[in-house]
Amino acid sequence: MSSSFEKIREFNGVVEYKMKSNGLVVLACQDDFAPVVGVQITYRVGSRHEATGYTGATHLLEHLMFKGSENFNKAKGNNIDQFENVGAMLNATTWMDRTNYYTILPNQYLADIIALEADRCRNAFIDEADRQSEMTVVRNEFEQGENEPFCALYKHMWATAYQAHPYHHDTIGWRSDIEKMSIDHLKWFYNQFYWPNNATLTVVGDFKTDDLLSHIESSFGVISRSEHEIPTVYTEEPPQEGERRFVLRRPDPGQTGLIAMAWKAPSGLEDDHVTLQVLGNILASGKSSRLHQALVNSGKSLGLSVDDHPFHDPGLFGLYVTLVPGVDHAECERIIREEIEKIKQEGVRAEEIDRVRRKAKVRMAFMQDRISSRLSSINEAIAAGDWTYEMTLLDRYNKVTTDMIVEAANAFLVDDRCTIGYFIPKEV
Amino acid sequence: MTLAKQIKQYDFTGGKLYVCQTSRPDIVSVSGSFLGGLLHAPNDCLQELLVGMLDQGTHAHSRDELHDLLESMGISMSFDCDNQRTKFFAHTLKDMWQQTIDLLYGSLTESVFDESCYEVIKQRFIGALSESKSNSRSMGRVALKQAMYDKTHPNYEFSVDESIGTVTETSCEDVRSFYRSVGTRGPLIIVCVGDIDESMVQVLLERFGAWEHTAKELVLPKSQAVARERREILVDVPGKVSSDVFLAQPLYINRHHPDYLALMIGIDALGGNFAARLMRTVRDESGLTYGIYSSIGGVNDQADGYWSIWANYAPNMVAEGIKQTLEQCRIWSQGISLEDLISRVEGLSGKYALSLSSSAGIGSVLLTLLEQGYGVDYVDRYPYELKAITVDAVNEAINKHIDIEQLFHVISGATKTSD
Repeated sequence: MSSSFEKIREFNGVVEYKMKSNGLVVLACQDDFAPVVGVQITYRVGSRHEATGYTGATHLLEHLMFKGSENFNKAKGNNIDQFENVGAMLNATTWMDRTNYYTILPNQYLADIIALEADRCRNAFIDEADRQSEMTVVRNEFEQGENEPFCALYKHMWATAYQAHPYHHDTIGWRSDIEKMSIDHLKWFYNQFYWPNNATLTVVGDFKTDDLLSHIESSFGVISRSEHEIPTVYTEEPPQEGERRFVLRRPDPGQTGLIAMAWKAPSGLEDDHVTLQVLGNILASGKSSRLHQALVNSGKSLGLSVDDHPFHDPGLFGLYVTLVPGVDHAECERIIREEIEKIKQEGVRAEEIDRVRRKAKVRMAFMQDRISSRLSSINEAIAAGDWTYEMTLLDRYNKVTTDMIVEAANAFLVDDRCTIGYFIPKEV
Repeated sequence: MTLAKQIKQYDFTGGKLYVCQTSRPDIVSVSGSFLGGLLHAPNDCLQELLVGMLDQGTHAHSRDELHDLLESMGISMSFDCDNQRTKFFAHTLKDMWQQTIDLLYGSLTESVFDESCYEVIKQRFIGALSESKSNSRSMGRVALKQAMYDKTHPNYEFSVDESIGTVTETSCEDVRSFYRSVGTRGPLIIVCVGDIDESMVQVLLERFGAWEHTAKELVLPKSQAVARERREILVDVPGKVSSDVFLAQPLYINRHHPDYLALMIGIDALGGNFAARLMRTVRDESGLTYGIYSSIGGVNDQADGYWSIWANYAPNMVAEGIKQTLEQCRIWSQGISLEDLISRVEGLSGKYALSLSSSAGIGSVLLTLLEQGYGVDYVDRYPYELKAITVDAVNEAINKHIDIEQLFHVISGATKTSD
């Protein structure tokens, strides 16, 4: 192994290395199923690092990262999109806690894609002309989100539940910030966060470890760590004191109402969050879940979902229900409350927890089948703060008891933590 | 060893089983389909209602028991249909294989069609149709297909209100009777992929060996669109802040036409991905849209399809978006270069290789090709067929099948500009 790297640990087939010179974390996971590799760089920066005036900066910057860098650009004919001409599946995503760039491609291009990621880590153009053309692209993405009632309700939910913490604003940002954010601000943002010591490079697929580390050394080895400390978010959301409600009314030819109910939850890595996930599954995941039976099987709802994502900071545990046209919002809210109250009073059955565990076991086994699923899982785990998160989840589910679920329901699913939103379609 | 050589074929009375053992431990999936789709049913919604009822209880298990059994064993099972075929899919860990096959077979052959379950499915179906009225892309697609096709063509789509009316009038007994006659009986194609051994194959063959079918009654007539005059259509969808724009044209060829692959490569060069002409220009250079793509749709081994370009624009950018798109289309229709061809073929071949890089991917690709009427050997042959296409073949196909001046235009969503 190259002396440029320190082996940190090995877990579940993934080996973690750290580049000694610049702090880049490397996660290597070999899989020779097919001559294909997936390469992903996750920057530990998301919309939680933004504030009023530059909401959406992380996402807009992600778009500009596709416009070229010093050694990979359109003039040279080797810009990132050219990898599609060898069959690559590539894209990037931005969310509250992270930004990731991924490419899955035939393994003979491993060195090339690593070189590109290294180049755009510090040498991306971030140019004003590109900002102008890309701003309207992002604004159209914003508009497409606004067209979706669920998307609009989801934004309103976080904006209502959070007052101080930057989870308040959606990752795409407010429209006026998207339009008016300056290139200087985007460059500042890039220079604050795009450094090897704020990144994890994950490689899954068919490669030789020595070759991989050699490629990384030659590409990322020339980049120093940041001279400044990577900024951290110190703003904490003050405790919520009382239930919050909002109503969103828009013209909607479909006449389909929505209800969102969300409670302030612990941060993703905490044990209580795992308990809430098991509770969420029992309540609203799958056709045998309690709310599916109470709302969907009774003909009141078209479908429902639970949002129990493990965020880096204390996030929301949310229930989202699409109503059958004509069904009353308040009636559905009452049914949701009744089902939660039943759990608080009567608990859950052991077989319900077993069902959640079994489903999780199957999900994790199938996740290993696809490189894209493995990259995505590791990406979200990095964002939460521990790349082994998903790999240890089943063991943690196995420790959850019926008593713990009742305690979690009583502690977290209470009115003082709750925000309720109705999407009410206006007649057209 | 080629992929085809790793696939074992088993013939049984009711159809064919294809098995691909992979190195993925513990996981196994079974997918399949049989003739019997939307076009075989007396109305356009009946088959969808039928597949919606297939997991709603059998003679052995009520709906709630079935769902509880599936989830407690970690079995995922679903049903779907398209114009021609009814489809099923299940995945599980191998320790629940027997139970998976039993429940899947039971749902396909012994569904009870309980009246109260049906009423819920029906109301949800109507609700989902109603919800689609607020989806401007979906509403635009319906308008486009109504403009391009007459009601006898498989690619015609009924309006949402017409479909709601049809569902409303369809009774549980209608669905039950249809199911008992031809609704679930065509020759089977089944594909199993994953950690599967011979004993598991025998479990499946034993269960599905009794499958009966009436294939002769389910042959679909070959269809071809009747040429119609191009139109420009506005679909106002209230509450939207941007517009979905379709530019499209019927193709009059199906999946097995000699020009199909060459034309598909040509259309991929126009708008297949980020590296294609439309994304490089209309999005990347001009910033007019988040995404613009061209593709072939509605085509299979029986029906002729259409090609279309889709993009979304702010209302005040629609006109410029269409203008620039047509300019690029006119340049493209003059012919693609050899360099374009090489990069598109390399890209499509690489993408195909990626799609075979998982157990689930192999299952999906294999079933699709078999449904299209190809043999197992085609999984290996496809990339070579792509590579055999010449630039002349692509340009002749574009020239023969595409007329930029005859594109139907549909603008759906926010149809008024704010400035």
